[in-house]
Amino acid sequence: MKLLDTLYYKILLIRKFEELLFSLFEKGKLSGTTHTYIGQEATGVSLIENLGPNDIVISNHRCHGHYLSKTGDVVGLLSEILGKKNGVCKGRGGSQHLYSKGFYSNGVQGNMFPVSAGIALAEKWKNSSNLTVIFIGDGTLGEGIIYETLNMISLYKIPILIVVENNQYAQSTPIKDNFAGKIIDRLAGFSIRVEENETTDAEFLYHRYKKLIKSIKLLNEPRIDIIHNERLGPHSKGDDERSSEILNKIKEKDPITVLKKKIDLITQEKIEKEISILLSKALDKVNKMENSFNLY
Amino acid sequence: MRYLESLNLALDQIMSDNQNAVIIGEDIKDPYGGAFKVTKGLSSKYGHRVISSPISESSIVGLGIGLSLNGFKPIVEIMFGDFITLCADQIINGASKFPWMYGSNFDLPMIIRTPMGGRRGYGPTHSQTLESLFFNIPNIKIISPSIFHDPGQILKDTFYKMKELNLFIENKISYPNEIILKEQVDDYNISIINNNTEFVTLSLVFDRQTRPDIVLLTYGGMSNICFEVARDLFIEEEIIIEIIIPSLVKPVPFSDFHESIISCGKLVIVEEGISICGWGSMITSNLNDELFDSLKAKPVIVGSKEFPIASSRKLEDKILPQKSDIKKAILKIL
Repeated sequence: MKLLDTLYYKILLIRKFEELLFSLFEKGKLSGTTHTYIGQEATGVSLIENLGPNDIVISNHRCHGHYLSKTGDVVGLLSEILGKKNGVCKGRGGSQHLYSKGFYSNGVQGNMFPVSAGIALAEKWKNSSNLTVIFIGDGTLGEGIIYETLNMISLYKIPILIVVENNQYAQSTPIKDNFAGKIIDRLAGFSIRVEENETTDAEFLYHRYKKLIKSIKLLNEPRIDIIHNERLGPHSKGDDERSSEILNKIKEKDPITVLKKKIDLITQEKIEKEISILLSKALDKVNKMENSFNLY
Repeated sequence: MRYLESLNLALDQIMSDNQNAVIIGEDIKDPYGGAFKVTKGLSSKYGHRVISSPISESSIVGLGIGLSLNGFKPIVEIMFGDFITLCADQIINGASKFPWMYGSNFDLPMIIRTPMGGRRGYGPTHSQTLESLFFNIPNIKIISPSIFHDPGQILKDTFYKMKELNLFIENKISYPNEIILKEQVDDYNISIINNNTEFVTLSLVFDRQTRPDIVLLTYGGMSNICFEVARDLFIEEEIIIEIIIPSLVKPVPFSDFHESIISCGKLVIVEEGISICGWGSMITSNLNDELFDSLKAKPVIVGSKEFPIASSRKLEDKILPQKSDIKKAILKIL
């Protein structure tokens, strides 16, 4: 597949996967909660597309997109979220607590930040060329442990790529109401190189991350990368208080809309159909899974 | 050998024998060597594997978890046990959950060492016994050697057996004490009474042939105080006491003292932490039917009173359990 087709495929897969989750919620077939990546997919997809199988990705509560980008494991994730014992975490972790080789996520804000630093430090001590990437959100910047850990990452020159996905909201609170100052100013105080971009353009991001990752691996040093975009979906589900006017504005920057302009219609349709079949097959398979648990 | 030296030598040996062992803590580098000097000399020998960290308790525990997930065996020092509150999220929502919640069988070998306990006038935030905060968290082991154990050996046992997070509690007044490695002390026989359990449980008894009047169950820094009480009561009142001291605090190694409780039927439990919802409560509420039926009296729990720990040594003594409190409990149940 050509690069743009691949990016489109992966972004659309995440989008359709999460739309499927919403529809399952509405039908009462899904319990618990879920935090979707809708509108932000370009960042995770284009970064992780640049990683090798031994690179490590650490995510957060909003992790489906990162997980699917890293593993492509639709059935494992869907069965996990639907509470099946064949889920990737045996139905124990659910939407927010995922693990697969080289992938970790956890549901508490900032909880994985020092853990990712430890994972990356271990890679450094092993002289490996594997990169550790941690994704956090703007809301997570309210947690004190972020600043404790940034200090140590800088002091010990831990090679790690920290991606701050600023989707403008901490749960339902807009950033202007919960964040003093500018993100880049706050993060610039640790003597770690930091850059920021406002974009949902997967092609641009892909080439940018290719360069950035090469540079981190060469210099063996930490980097912070801030991506400003806007969450198109609700925080979790049914908690979106934004007006349709605001949502329509965000939709113009939808990474899918942006990418569609660069891909011919026939290819688009082909990919859409492929994903639709893939997801309906996956759902069938998951629905048929036998589901009895043993605690011991 | 002192309690402190025993731990220091054990850490030295662990570091020299295991290239994947790492020590992380605040102010632990030479020449200072840690607030209580347990790590003295190690940074000079083991270089980058001894990390003297910023004052960031939560983050250093997280760093340790990450290192453990990725092939290392970290030993994190929290300078005062009271600061374990700062690490609660990393311990409870992180280390203790990862392997199970991820549906995986990987190990998460890690030790958090920290000194607990009062009697030095350090006051409300530097004197507590807080391991009970973690009693009802699954997948955490709590280990605490007394001066009657070989604390360095218990630390090495912990390191070599660990598959999950271990809280290793050192009582800070024990650091300067000579450890008792003999089989006999003041006519008391010290023996190991393990019954298929992993960490040494000791029994101190005057005479194995005579059935004791009371079983005194305790751990950590209360052990030597209980020993003094047992000696006094034998001389003053001819009461025969068996003291049982597990080094494994949680899960409680019930099978080790099953026989002793059954044959005696009278139980006093002594802990330094606040006695409400503490170690004694955990033990008495989890006695199996056989043990419960063997009791001849309601067990008595002796611990701290429900106050923050005062700085004034005199006031502190009124809050922490004293010899007189233990004696009173024993006389009450006799």
